[in-house]
Amino acid sequence: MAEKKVTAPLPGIVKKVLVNAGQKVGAKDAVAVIEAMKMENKIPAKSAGTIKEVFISEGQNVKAGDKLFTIDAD
Amino acid sequence: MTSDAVMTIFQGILSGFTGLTWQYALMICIGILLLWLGVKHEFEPLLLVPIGFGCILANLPLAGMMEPHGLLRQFYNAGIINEVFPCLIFLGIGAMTDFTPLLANPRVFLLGGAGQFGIFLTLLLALALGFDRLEAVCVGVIGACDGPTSIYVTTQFAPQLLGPISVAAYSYMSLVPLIQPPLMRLCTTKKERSMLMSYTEQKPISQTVRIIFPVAVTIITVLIAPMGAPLMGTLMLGNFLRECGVVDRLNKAAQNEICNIVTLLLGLSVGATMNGEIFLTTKTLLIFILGAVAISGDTIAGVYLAKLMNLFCKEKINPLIGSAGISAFPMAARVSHKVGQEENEDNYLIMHAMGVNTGGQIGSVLAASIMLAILAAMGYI
Repeated sequence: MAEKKVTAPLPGIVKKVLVNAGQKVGAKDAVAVIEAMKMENKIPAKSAGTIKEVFISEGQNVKAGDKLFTIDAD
Repeated sequence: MTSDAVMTIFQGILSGFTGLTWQYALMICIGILLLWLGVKHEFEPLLLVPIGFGCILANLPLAGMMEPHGLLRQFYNAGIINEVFPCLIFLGIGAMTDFTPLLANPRVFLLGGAGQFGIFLTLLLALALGFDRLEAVCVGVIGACDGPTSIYVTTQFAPQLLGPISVAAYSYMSLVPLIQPPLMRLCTTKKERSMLMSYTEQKPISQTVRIIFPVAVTIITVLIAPMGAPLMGTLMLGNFLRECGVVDRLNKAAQNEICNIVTLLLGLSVGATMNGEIFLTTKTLLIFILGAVAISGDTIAGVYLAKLMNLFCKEKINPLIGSAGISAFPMAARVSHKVGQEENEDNYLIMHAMGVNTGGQIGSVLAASIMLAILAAMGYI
């Protein structure tokens, strides 16, 4: 099992965290919503697997490239 | 009571109806259409609702709302004729605008300039169609895609066209999400649209830079184009209130109370200028057609300038952000982002497009000011 990182593709505010540690996700599932300039962006998991760690909480500011989650890929 | 007296009473009660000419009736229908677009479809409701209601009020016969002592005429005199309302709106826009994306990537300011191409294209077309010089300038300014700037310029030089021009400007701003995407797709290849733009190499912008920026822009642009001082001055004052960090109350007042009150009064007054005799002419129709040309020209010029920049720059930009150079804010930036995501879901153009969009805002004021400066130099105004 390889560990994959999900990073923020753009700077903004974490509007919603949609998954918890231990949860199974598909590659296309949205794991978080980041709001930039009043636009909500769904962030896809990119790889199917189990969420290992969550590094963000709602309302937090993130920079582009910040680590959001790690996933144990299937 | 004699039958004559009864007739007189009836005539008194019904005089509103008998005074309702077809022009008034049609304008009332247009007012209702604007209300419907605003309420039902949420096209720029903050603007279309007051404009639509103002239009209805001004076209009810004998109500006299736009007569010398009428209520709407008072609003019009208080803020439109002396250009106070558009400037106060700019104060609010300045306070709401975050110029950080532009400062992080200053070269996109060029795209904000290209977004003004439609102004000059439309100016030439309007002249060719027989508008007189000053009217043509005002029609061209629709290409700035910027309501307050259009109102400001039109009030000064062709007040008789204020109704059609401002309604055209605001309608097209609300139609940006419909007008732009097909043109953007037409002018780009699939490969260009899917081009990723990253944020990671951007440096953070310090508060010092953000504070100096509005002051520097004011001084430089007003030295270049002094006639734009009221618009640029208020826009940048608003932004200074936002960034300086010590006048939060003024910042909030500019963004909320001042901007909201003025939007209402400005919209009502603009609606009230939609007088049937002036509005229902072929000129209005031409203005609407030219407005569409202006915005299409802006969009295409922006996309192509972005492609041109890519020929010379090492760090490539996605041409889709070029279309955000029109100052319709923030709709144009959102359109760039959405069209980019349709092509490639890993593509998050929003902040880059915002940089172009805010650049377009400065660009539209600057373009209008430069045009005024040229007219003044040529002795037309």
